[in-house]
Amino acid sequence: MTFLFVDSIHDDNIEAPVRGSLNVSMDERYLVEHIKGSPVFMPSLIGESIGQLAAWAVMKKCRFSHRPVAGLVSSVRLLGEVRPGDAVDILAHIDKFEEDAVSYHGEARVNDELVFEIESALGPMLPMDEFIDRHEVIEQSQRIKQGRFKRDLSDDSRLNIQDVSFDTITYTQENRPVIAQKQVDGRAPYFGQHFPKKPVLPLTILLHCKLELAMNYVERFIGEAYRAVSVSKIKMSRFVVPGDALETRMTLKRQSQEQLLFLFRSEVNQQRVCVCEALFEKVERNT
Amino acid sequence: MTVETVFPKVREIVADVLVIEPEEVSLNSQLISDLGAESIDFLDLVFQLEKEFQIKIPRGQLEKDARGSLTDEEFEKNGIVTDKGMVRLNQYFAEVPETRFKKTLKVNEIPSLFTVETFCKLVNKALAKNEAPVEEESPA
Repeated sequence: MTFLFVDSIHDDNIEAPVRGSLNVSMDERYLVEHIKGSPVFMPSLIGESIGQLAAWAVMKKCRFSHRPVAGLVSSVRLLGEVRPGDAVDILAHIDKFEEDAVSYHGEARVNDELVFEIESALGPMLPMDEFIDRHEVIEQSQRIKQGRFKRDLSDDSRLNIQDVSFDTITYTQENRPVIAQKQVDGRAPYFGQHFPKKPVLPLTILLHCKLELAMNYVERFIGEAYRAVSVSKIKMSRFVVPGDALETRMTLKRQSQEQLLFLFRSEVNQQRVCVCEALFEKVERNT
Repeated sequence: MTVETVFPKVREIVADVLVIEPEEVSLNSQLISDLGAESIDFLDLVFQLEKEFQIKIPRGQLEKDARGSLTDEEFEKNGIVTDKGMVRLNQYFAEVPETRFKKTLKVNEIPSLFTVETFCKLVNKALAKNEAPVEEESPA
């Protein structure tokens, strides 16, 4: 199953806004249930598409010798939903591009309405050949640029719920940290393309698992409808690979009448792999 | 600017980057062994310091400063710091206790010596560079 979320690149000049698009079809497999019941494109993957667009531009600039990987994100705002049938316009601004790191910010729009925003992201640049054959990624890039790229939406590798959620969740009581565990399974479909030579858990999949964990907590202990509005201070310290036993601790850091702030810390073998904070806001009854 | 002047803000940034309490950060804390910093944290730290102090910290500046005027051949051999290199590191990282310098130190292990004071000195150097008058060319 492909893990590429840029269908077309319209402008890949890093000195200007990098422009691309993503078409979310009715067959899209990375759909999740929205609070209102209808399926939506996995929100964290909108961020993935912006990051990938930025990556295509900088990889081209360095002649595909290196690729950026997830590192730091100051914050992302989740402003709207992307539904099957939507065409997403993606924009990435490359703020700084050096031999060892790239920083960028970006946004995604549907019908000119802002649905996702990345305030600032910083990713280390690592040798391409560690992850994927350079010629393969050049060929992918050419197909996308020429509009010949089609994301593989066949049924033969369906996404299972366990691929995008934690395996076990341990609650002690309300207002106490929640512990969630996931045995990272190499058969999950996103590993095929992320990456062929070095399968690593996509940060955006891990973020989705964390947001779902928070929603689970809200449903269990709070009982009212909330939605994720932003994720901040995201840092991926180490790669998470198939076979890893991932443990995530979630703490409700702050609670007010309208907002909940969750803090997440994920570890493998007691070593930090990912931290972030997620802000949720109460959903008005009539929306 | 002295180390003491910039330390409070550097400490705050280090604590924020490493997601620890500022009280856990002292001037002589070693970032990797005492505070648990990873390589991504150094990238984050430099990025945050540049933003906070409006400075530019070129990539590899710390290693370059640590080497001083020694050539590559004088400083390292087959990835291991030479005796001359170790003397130089001892001088540069004067705040680090002698006991923390391994007998055989690999070049890629030099970040293990970095302390909070190391970054205070780096910030001061960059600030001084910002303030230095730009040399004007004399008219022909």
